[in-house]
Amino acid sequence: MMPVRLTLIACLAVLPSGALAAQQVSPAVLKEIQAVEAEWAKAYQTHDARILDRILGSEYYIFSAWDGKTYRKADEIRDTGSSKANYASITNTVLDARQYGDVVVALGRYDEKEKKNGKIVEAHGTWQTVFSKRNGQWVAIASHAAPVPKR
Amino acid sequence: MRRIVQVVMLGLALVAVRPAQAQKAPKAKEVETAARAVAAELRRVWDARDNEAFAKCFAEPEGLFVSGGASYTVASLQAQNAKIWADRANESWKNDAVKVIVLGDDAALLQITFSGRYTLATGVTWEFASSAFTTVLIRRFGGDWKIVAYHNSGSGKQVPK
Repeated sequence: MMPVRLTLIACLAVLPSGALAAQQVSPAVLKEIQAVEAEWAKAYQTHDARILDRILGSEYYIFSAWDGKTYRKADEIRDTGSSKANYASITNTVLDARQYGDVVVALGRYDEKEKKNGKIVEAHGTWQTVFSKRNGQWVAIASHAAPVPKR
Repeated sequence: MRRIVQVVMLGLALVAVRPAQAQKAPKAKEVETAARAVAAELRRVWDARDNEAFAKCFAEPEGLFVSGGASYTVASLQAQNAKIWADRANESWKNDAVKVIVLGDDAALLQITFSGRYTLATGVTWEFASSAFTTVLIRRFGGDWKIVAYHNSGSGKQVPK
């Protein structure tokens, strides 16, 4: 977990009241979010769409700057279930997260290694996902993913 | 007798249901209106190249802000905006779709799909056909709605000369 940003705390102290202030997520919530993200990666790697059905909210919608397209939950489930990609590994790493009551916004990194024609092809990206707590579980309701810019 | 029972049942139903609906529906509508106003303001400040007004859309200087796959603060987003505007001879954008998910009385998620094109000072033109996206989480602070998380990205194509 990234260190608490003192500048953020100082800023929030002078914000007008009337809404829940942003909070760095507690270690317990961060662990829960990381667990969801790990499941998400597992779903992609093993083509297990049942996991996605569980962790994505019905209104889930993702903007993907990888291909300039948008996908809904049903698209994700269909594409994951029918994928023939052979992944050596997929890792989702939560870099930062903020909590606003029952809503968490997480920022993370995506690292993929795919076996293609006897070679390992790597892909790296960033994502931002909004989670909502429903029936005691964190479900993803929106994401925005983009490839890491080449340096 | 049967009519009296019907009237009483209807009255009970109104008493039981109406207050909750009366409170909930207008609030959600207000949140959606506020969210759409934030989307319109983001478009306005970008088109006006107003970096000061851009910063005022945000609740805090260091939130979860991403643009083009890289992380930013509000200040570094402003610096990036200034560079982008300086590099572009002209540009034209429009919001194609603004989707609002109301998350409560004080929170909403905005998903904006937009399209447009820009021409660099070098003469190269890039086109984005409904393939540029902004996702923002907004919260209400007193009477103001501000951005607490922001992600902006696009997938454009260079227009052949």
